[in-house]
Amino acid sequence: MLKYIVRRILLLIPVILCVMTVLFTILYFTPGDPAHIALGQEATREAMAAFRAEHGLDDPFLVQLGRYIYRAVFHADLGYSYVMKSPVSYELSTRIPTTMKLAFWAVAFSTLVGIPLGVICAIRQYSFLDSVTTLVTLLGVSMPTFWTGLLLILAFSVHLEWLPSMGFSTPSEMVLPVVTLSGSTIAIIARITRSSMLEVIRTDYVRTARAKGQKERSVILRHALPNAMIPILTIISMQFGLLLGGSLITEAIFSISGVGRLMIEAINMRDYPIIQGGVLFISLAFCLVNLAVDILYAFVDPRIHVR
Amino acid sequence: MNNITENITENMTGKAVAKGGSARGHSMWHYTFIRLRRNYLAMIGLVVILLLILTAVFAERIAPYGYSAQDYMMIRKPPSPKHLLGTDEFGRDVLSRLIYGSRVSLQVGFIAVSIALAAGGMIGAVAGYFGGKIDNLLMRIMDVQLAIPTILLAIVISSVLGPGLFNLMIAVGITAIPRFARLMRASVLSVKNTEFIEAARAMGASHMRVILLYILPNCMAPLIVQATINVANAILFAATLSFLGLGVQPPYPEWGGMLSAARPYLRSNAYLSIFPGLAIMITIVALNCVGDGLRDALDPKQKR
Amino acid sequence: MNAVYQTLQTSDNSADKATDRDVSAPLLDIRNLFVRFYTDTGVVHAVNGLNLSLSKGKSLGFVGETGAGKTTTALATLQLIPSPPGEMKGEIFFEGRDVMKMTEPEKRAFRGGKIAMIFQDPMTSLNPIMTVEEQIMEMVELHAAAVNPRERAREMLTLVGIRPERGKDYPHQLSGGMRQRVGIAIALACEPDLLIADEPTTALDVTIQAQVIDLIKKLQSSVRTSLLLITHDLGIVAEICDDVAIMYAGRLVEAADLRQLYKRPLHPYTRGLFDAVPRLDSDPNEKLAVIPGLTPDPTNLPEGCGFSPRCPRARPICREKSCGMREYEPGHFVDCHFPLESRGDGQ
Repeated sequence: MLKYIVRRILLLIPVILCVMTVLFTILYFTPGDPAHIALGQEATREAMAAFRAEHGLDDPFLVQLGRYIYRAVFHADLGYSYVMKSPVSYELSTRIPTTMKLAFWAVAFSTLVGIPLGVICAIRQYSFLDSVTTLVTLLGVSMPTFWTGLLLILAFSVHLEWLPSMGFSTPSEMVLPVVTLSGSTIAIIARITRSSMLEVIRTDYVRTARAKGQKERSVILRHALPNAMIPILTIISMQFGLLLGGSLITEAIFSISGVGRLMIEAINMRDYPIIQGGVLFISLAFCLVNLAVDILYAFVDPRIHVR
Repeated sequence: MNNITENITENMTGKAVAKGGSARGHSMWHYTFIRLRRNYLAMIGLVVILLLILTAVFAERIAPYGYSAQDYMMIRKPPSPKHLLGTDEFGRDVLSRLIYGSRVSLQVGFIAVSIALAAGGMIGAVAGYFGGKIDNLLMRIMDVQLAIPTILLAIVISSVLGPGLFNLMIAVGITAIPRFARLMRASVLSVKNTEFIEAARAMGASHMRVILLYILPNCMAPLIVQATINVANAILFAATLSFLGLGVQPPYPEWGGMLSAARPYLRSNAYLSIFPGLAIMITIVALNCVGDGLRDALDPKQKR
Repeated sequence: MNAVYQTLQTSDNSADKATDRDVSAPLLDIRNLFVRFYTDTGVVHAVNGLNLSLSKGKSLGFVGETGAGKTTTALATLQLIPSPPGEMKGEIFFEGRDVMKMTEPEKRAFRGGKIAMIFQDPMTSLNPIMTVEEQIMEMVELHAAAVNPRERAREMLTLVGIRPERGKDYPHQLSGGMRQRVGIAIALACEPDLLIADEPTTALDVTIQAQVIDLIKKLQSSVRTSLLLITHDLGIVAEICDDVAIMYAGRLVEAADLRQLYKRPLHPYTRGLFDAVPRLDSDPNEKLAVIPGLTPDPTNLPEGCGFSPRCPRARPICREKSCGMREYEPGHFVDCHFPLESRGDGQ
């Protein structure tokens, strides 16, 4: 087990290094001189040359790439935002907690709603509740996050005036962003839970459990659900990527100062170091969650050791 | 939402491929169509998509006004008989803009997916067919790309490429490549060692010929399902990028861009935020219904 | 001697029969059982008016082709027919009580505690993410509160010939034969009154089949449970059963004591089954006799006798109405207008 975890972590390192390289390369070859962006259009030739020299922007590509990776890995230094005039890692670190909080609640909420909903629909297949849920989840997966957010604001802030439409510090402020971000994830988790449960409920071992005289409740909770969890976990971990992407939109709509809003501002100002750092952070988070889920997998499914 | 289907299509690859031997290819598609016709949700979806395509093609004839025709007397007026869905902040007819907007969405959806299908399909076919080092290298590259959440990658690429319809398609297309590559690879692997491929090789067919004439046709089923769902996804991504100001530039209308422009008027003119969103949702729902229907029709065991 | 069909004649007016049961009443008595499934492609008539009974301590071989309704009958006995799409009608008396009328908690106590089942496919009938020990323990916890579940599980593993240490293994770590042994251990863990074995050897290698059959036979006598063995293998029936019932298209066609039936099959279908089995003393160059045609589509059963479309002896009356079960000779029941006279007859 420990060997498996260590191997998985080791496999993650080259992936992250490659992500860094790819991001750096894409943004390096993007037209636009950082000196221009930092100093403005009226900067003198000398000032720009001095700036370039100071930040090592005249060095060959590979030297710059090597330096970037070295600093990132050993000093947690992700470069310098010429626009915000501060280190990227500082800007990120002040916003990471908010984004993590948003992502955590969204995952928790969508799992806690999506899985039970899917289970109930599978047990009561073709019931009224099942039909309604199927329809709602179909709409749920088809609604763009930003539109869900706007509709929620329209309903709960503008018309009903129950909940604020901005910020993310008090519980009442957290409701709408979390629901917005969870929306499509709930729908996806409910759908996959339903289909996975339907498949498992028909298996022979569930029939065996019933033939033992086990209570229906225990048949579902002890035998069916744990087996159905395997594909559900995969979906949750893959979904986390979309959820992190969605946090960008959610943060923009609800004016939450997290990593996502920072990145959107950076995109508008062509602040590439920030974009680079932000994408890197989110990718790292995504990979770590996938890793965690894979490890969880090994606990749920004893067959995984063999592979 | 493509994640679900990716998982499912990957699972079904083996079965679907096993069913559709080249000799029975015809009957497989025939039965698929019969099963699909029984699925009324999928049929409604198909009709909606066909209507949308017609709308996009004949936008000039259908739209009551031009997409940039401004009427300064009619700024942000709610729906009325003259302007069925109201007017926006420049006095432009919302319905007309939605009609023209369907062009962008459908173009991005279908072209971006074609790009991804072609590139990903090729990468996957080569990786699966040749195996070994090539396979390893290509799939590790795909893994790296998968490590970056797709929507973020699309944002990075389109912010690098700059705004514009063509760049939007490229950005959205690139992000979908790994899915198709993996799916194609899985399909190829499951077909590769079957006897009819060996027979073709034994008759002296070239690698290219084997891939194009023998392997590809037998891997179509899961790819088509994946492509349908991915069109929905591409449209969502395009709308998201436009919402962030990275997509098609004004004054040309794009549904996501229209929503973005409507945000300041959420309190005063809610209809401006509702109609474009509805247009996006209806399109995506229709595509998802067709995709689900196709999946069930191609693999009837999955249903029930 | 005959345990199979003693209550047959009265099955139509079973209401008054139910009142006067005595000690010699059968352990399991299925009367006029119908099971249907409502599916997209039509109504599947899986079991159509089945009568079957089994005495305490006996073993009954329940023989028929795939799709004849044997497994459905077993699942109906355990009240495990999913509803919808399934629907059951008729009576199933176990120790004199109609299981159809039991409450849900009573049914649960009865499943596993009174009747246990061994399933056909050991590869899929064990939960892949629970250790085999836990799966045996679950049965003990449900029905034998006084016993230490873990000890009992180990005891059962030893009994079926698996080292108790392997109890910590998951099903995928065991071979098919071992998994079926675990299935047997689960079924017998609470010493049920009746063991239903549903084609317990079909999914296994031939060499393992014999071991599993020997094990069931040995344990049946040591645990003193009755046995309902579902199979299509007449050889296995000959080896361990006292009585035989032949099922075709959801109904019994013939039922008798093992010797009687093997010596003198009366129904043309039974005869066909025997002829389809290769015999050591037959001419190796001679082709095996095959029953022509296919089992009828359960969504569209033929009028009259279910076997008539395939029967070489069928006459017009066979296609109009079935004969109904009758006692052709003492203890030997057959549902055929024109039963075979002797083994050589009808060729």
